Amino acid sequence: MVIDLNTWESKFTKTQTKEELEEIRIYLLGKNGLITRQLKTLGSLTVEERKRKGQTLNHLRDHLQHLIEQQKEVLEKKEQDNRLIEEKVDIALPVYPQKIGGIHPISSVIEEICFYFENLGFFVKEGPDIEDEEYNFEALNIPPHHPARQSHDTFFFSDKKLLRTHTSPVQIRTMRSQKPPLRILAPGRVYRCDHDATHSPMFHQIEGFVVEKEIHMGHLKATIINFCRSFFKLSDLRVRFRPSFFPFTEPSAEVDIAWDKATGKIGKGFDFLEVLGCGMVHPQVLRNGGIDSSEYQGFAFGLGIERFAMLKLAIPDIRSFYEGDIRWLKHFNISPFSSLKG
Amino acid sequence: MKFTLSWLFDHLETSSSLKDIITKLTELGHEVKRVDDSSVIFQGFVVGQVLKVELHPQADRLKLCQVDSGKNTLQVVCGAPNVYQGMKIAFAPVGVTIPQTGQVIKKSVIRNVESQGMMCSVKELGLGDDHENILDLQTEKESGTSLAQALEIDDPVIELALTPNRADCFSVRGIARDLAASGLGTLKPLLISPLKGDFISPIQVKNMEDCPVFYGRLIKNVKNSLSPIWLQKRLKAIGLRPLSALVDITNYLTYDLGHPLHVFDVSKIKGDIYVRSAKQGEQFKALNEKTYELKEKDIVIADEKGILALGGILGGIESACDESTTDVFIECAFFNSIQIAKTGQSHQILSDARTRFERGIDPESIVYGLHKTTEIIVQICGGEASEIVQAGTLPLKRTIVSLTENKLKRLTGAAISLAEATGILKRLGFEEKEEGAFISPSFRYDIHIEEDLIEEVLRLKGYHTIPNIPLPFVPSSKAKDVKSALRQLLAARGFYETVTWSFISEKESQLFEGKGPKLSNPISQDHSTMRSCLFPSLLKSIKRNETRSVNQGAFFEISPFYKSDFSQENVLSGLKYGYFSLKDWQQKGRLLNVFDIKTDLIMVLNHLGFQEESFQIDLALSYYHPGRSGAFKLKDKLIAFFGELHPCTLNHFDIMNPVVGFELFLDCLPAIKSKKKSLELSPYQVVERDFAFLLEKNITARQLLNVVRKVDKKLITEIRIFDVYQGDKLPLGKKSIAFQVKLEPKLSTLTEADIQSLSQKIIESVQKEIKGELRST
Repeated sequence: MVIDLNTWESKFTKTQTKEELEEIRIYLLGKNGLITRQLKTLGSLTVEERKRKGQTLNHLRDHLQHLIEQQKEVLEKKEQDNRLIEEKVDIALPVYPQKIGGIHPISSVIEEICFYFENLGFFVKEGPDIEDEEYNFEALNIPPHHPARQSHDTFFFSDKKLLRTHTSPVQIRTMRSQKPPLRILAPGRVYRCDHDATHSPMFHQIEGFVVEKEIHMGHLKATIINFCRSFFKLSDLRVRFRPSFFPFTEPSAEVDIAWDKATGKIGKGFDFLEVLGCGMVHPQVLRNGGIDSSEYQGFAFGLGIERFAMLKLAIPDIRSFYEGDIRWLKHFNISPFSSLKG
Repeated sequence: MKFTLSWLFDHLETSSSLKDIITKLTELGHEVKRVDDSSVIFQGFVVGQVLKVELHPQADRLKLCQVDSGKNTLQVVCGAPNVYQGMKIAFAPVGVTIPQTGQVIKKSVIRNVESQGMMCSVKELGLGDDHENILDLQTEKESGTSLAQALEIDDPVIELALTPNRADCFSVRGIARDLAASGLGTLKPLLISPLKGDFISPIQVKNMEDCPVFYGRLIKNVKNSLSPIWLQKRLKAIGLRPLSALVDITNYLTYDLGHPLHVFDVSKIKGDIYVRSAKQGEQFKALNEKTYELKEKDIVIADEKGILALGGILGGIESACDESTTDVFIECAFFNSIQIAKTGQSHQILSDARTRFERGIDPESIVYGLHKTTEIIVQICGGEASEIVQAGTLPLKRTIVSLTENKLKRLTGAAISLAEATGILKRLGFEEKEEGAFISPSFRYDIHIEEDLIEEVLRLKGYHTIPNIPLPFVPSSKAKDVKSALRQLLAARGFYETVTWSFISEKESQLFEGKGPKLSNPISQDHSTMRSCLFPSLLKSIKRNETRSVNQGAFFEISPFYKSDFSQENVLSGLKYGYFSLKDWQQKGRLLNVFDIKTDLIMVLNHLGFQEESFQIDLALSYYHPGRSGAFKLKDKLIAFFGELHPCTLNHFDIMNPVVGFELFLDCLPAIKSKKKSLELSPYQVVERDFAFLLEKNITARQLLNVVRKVDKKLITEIRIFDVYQGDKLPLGKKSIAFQVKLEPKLSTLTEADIQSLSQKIIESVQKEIKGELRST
């Protein structure tokens, strides 16, 4: 009996189901299959013939078996494909992922500014909101009836306690607890009893403060200019220093950046916008902090966080920062995965 | 400080433009707050004359006018009822921009008739409210004259925001002096023709310690009517209301020379004038028609009857000059600036006089100020002046401050020679006593130390001349920022960070068991108390969002909270409200519960390096749901509260949705030792076994877990509770807890016998320690 491999192979590939294939397998290789039966007849042959025919039959059996396995895989794959198509779902059905929240612009701006100055070796330090009159005023060279106090609309408690009107008291607290050289950054809440469209009774400032032996106004200028350019991401931003007055710095300066009043664009136009105050630490303030003013000098600057946030993120109304309106927070809060920095 | 450009030119000889002057003022440290230049605002507007008025052929209410614009005659359609032939009007020719609306006037056709320009109402000009009638200029000025000129508002008004140290610039002359020193023009000499006086003043004066000098003189037979137009114009331009010549002159000179004076009606004075301290509680009726109850140190100017004026601050109504005044007494004095500030502050009086006296008056202006005042009064009101009466002598307080080239270099970083600095200081009026030693001018109260001189030098050189030099390098000080990490974590979990005010109402404070200090001068009673708890502020935010039909949300804030002893600590407070999840096609929605917020809190604590089992559990405060809240403590130190909020708390804020929250007291957390153990990865098979126990209802999960964990702290790495049941199927007072124990062997693979023996130990321990019975499953 001759078995034509090609015929069988084409028979295998024509099968559509595993059952059909199994039927053929049984017909050929089952207990009473064609090949099996022939293999059983080998025992009656001579050694020589058994060897020759046996080899051929075994070879044929293996080959058929292989072909059947192959076809089986093909059929199984097809079956799976069909099943998967059956399992199809409407992937257009909407899903509702957990929402990601956001970080408040005030915190973001504080973190960004801290990050910048920490790279310059500044240490972040916080002071209390409820201050002694001494730290908020006297030690900063603002005696009780100084006209400068008028511009600090102060909230008072009993016992000469008050809500700090600026972050500058941290200068004194630092100097009284640490030895120079000092590079300090002090963010925090400050308070003025003033409440209208452009003023909030509570807002935030950052105080920067350097005391070293040979720190001069040139350092102050470069530090502030580079910071402003970095914060507003404008390498050629025009930054203007003009003389001003703060009781705790001498000389003092206000810093303006170029902007266009009509469009509000920073770095454009011919107008200037005031962004911060700064100056060389007044020698009396150094002495009040217990530092020898003939040996050390330094600079200080203070800036309003809300103002920087408003400029950078185009937030129109200072009062909106504190209302906790979820629509506002969704719009202005910063994703935890993308900081202002990037 | 306000002044007009022409006024400045009275004192400053310069060819500089307004723009250059403004730039220089800024460079000198005098912030220019505002410039009102009407000639710019009204550019293109002219005086027009209505030559002819006819009715519009196609509209009853409109009129057709022929207007002489100075250049030509134009046809203009107008709807104003008050237009008449010959009327002088404010005319906006084609091409001009209306300041109020920004509208550019174009040639137009109104009901088939051409109109070439617009006749303006006061409203359109921004000068008033009437928009029905057009402005009737009633001027002699010819057609074509610029409107600003016709309205006599062509003198630009400059407003400076002066810094409190520059007392000397609270006068037009002072500003001119600073500009002249900077090289922008020259200061004109102050022309005064002093009058010696024709008679001895019948009123004598006495001074006191807080008023070291008091000068005065009487002028009799004056006529006090309205001031001349030029004077009225200047006062109006700077926002002062002209009253009568005598009063106007003193106001004018306050701004012109910076020395406030006062005039008294002699007929209302009894006897001599003397300066004294007020008696406690003494009443004073001021010019502003208010009555003040004075304090003992307040400086008053009085006669034999009583108080005439609050010295250096405010005049009295009972001695004021009016049109009937014929004899006037001029007071020109020098007051102790600190006492003026105290009195001004305690009575909350802001006046031009106080502003100047509390900052410091040039003592030399007492004499020339009095002479100049006399001169102008006699010029305008006539009369004869008495000789000057005087008490006390001029305080001569001249400080000498030295300056070295070395300090100049060391403080500024710029190379400025002493010679250059000396030149600048001399221009500012400093006298060089010897090389490097300078006497400040009498009008400068702000020069005490070398740094003050350096600022003066820099001010005139310009801050832009200082070189920009980066700070000397030191390595980054970037430290681990816990708050920043917590913000990121919570934001990633869906929380929105808020920042709210630190003060709340006293009632809210009490509701949250707060003991924060009370402000003496809050902006309102709703913000009178420093918060001990952030929840009231956050709940208000929730309410606000709930009102807008937002039914779920999560907020957190990191902020100080305040204690009764004025100290503060940092707290992280998180609140969530409404739904944990809304229903969708895969699941039913559900509301938030205590375990949702506990999950957030535990995640935060895990992130900080703490495990739940290390905390003792205690009760939360009264604003939480008593049965669904708790506290975590470490060695009896409070670490956190969490739970559902009490319905009464939510009622107070009128919140409908359930609210859950936590408060984590950041400053109470002990520092975590960040020693990382070396990594040990066990190669052996991990085994999991499930158990279910029947327990007394009052046994807590914490008790059960502790018992199981103790069985083998090394081998048992995780116990996960997967079922909690209590109900009908169990005996009364019982509950069932099922959990899976994960065993991670470190030394060898666990055999079945090992696992059996450990399971047996767990079962025995639970039975022995908390009377739990293993449930057969």
